[in-house]
Amino acid sequence: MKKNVAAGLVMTIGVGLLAGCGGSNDDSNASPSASAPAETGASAGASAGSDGGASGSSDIKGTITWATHRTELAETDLKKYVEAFEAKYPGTEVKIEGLKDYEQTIRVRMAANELPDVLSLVETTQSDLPKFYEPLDDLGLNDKIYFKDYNSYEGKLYGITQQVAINGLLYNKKAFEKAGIAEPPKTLDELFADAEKLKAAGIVPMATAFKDAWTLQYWTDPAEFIYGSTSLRNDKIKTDTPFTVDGPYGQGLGILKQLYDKGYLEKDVFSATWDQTQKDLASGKAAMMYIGNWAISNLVSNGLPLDDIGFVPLPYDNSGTYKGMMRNDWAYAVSSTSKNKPLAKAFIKFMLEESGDYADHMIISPLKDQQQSLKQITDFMAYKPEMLEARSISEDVKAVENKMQFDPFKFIQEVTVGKMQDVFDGYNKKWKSTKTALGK
Amino acid sequence: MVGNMSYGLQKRILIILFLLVPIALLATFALYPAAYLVYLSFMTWDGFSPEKTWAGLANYKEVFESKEVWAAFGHNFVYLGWGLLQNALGLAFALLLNSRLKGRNAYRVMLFMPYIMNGVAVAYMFNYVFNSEYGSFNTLLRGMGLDSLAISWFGSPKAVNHVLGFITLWKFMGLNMVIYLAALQSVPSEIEEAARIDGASRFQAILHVVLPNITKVIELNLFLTIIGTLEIFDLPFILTGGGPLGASDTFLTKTVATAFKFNNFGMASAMSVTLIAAVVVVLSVQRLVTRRWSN
Repeated sequence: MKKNVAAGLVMTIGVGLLAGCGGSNDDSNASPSASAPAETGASAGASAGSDGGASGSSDIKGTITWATHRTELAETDLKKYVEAFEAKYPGTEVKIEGLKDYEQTIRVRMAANELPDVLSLVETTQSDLPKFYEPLDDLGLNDKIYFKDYNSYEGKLYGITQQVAINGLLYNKKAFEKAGIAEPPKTLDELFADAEKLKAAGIVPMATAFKDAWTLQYWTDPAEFIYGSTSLRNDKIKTDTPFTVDGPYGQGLGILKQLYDKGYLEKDVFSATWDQTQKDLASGKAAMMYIGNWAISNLVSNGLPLDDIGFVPLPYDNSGTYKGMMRNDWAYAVSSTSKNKPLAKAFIKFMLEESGDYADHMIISPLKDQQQSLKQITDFMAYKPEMLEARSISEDVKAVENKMQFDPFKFIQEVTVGKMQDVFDGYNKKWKSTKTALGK
Repeated sequence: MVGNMSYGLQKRILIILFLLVPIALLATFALYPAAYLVYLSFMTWDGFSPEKTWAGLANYKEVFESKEVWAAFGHNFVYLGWGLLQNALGLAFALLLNSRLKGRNAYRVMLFMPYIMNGVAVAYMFNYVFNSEYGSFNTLLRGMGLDSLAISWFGSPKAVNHVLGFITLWKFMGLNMVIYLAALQSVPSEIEEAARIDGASRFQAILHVVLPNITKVIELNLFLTIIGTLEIFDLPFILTGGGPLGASDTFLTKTVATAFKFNNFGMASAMSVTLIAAVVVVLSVQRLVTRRWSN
């Protein structure tokens, strides 16, 4: 009986984990947007006659199933989008299936070869992509989207990210005011100076939600900024000692470590959870956090007025030049076994181009020409940061990491609270032996 | 047609027909998955791709060579310690509530209540109790002027397993107590009374008369406790996620991570089989000890 309980728990808790790991997905959807219905209707109506989807609207008929991880919107906003789509293409029907334990459920269906027509792509190794998914090159969006290389294999595109997240320094303007800080930090030194002021004012300078760990993953961004490219993680394969104190990992993660060492993170990092952190940031108990732009709507739903939220690039050195990291999210994909691929593809195209999803939910559209006009985003861009696109992990690196059971979240935790040299030595040793064992 | 068959044959057919359904269910939902688990433990599989490749004993070798896995298994023994205490307390309360205590039914309900509660709810509740800043326990300690004791309970590698062990004790003590209570009530009161008349003290009567009569049940309770502690999963998974830095990982949280986080279903299956073997070993030792004791 115990065993059943455990298995059941894996299933239920998996949901929580997914919400955590996917991070951006569930949270970004929580935004209250009063204008949702009106905007959707307008955009759908305006473009109804313009273009006929991927392959001409004549053969777009029938029924498809759309499995989505955005469960809390499945019955509301997403349904509106589907209705607008069905109105545009009479004789079609899209069944929405909101899956709570999304990734695990889809993985089981993958093994059983029963994927729904349209779904959020569950990552496999790149070479497995063609086995499960249909190429989306004929949508004609390849040059218009961000992250066209992320879910591709041998030049074919298998998934289009549903939104783009920009990581930046999110801060509470009221908390800054209270500590006597007029402007967000422009250099790393200023960041530490501001943190000191905030600490003196009894405010947690930098929130991390350390215990939940997935929120820490963004702190490897500075390492990639210093390295100058997002292939840092993949380039590990070229060396036996990827983690060095004076290398990108040491310097990049060193920022978080210094913040910790100086007492600028939460008082008890191992009790700091994401649930509490959102509330603390909204109430001004904590001032800053390095996280994706999607978290703006979380703060709003926790009661912080939009005008009091600041969002700027993280100053990772004292040069006065900035870099910003763009991360992808769950991607739209069509199953390779779908019986109605034209309809499935037309639906994806509609969701990306015409649904108005990005405007409704304060997120950044994967289409480059759909600009988000939210003030926080335009403020961020005013710094003219060099934007980097996150990269998918190469098969070889993934194989070694999985074999050595490399948990990037735990790795960052260990580096932050431990002795950096010792932690790096341990990981380097494991990396080398596993890499040799696998012959990579 | 039926009439032509002998009575014995009819009986046999009937028995087979009756057994067919439960055996089919057992085979589909218990035997087949178990056999499949053993099969997977000899394979390399990422959990979704169509191909599985033969790995031989490599998965088992990896399990036995991994220091982290056995360090996690070591944490299970902290729970075992708390589990033994849980049994002692359960027995003590059972003895107490078996006497003519006023309001004993109310106490029984109260002590059994935690067991009925949903495990996830219990976890969330204790999350608030042991929170280092806002938690009721630390507030209490500070209120009594014991500030130095108000540590971060889930953040300290030394304390975390004991805190979790305490929560399991709180939750499962009631179950042990109820089972002991049932056993105690089946012990005829005459023999205890006879012992008392012969001049045994209450303590002597319990030790030499009552307890020897319920050894089977003590054995059962220990059996349940040991299995429970070796397979502890829900509390660390929900409350700490194995943290801080893996200090509260248990064998099962490691197994689940191996399968679902690192997509290594082969090794995870090997770990599960190893756990079953470990349970068998520990239980054999327990049986050996208790048999000697009851003789």
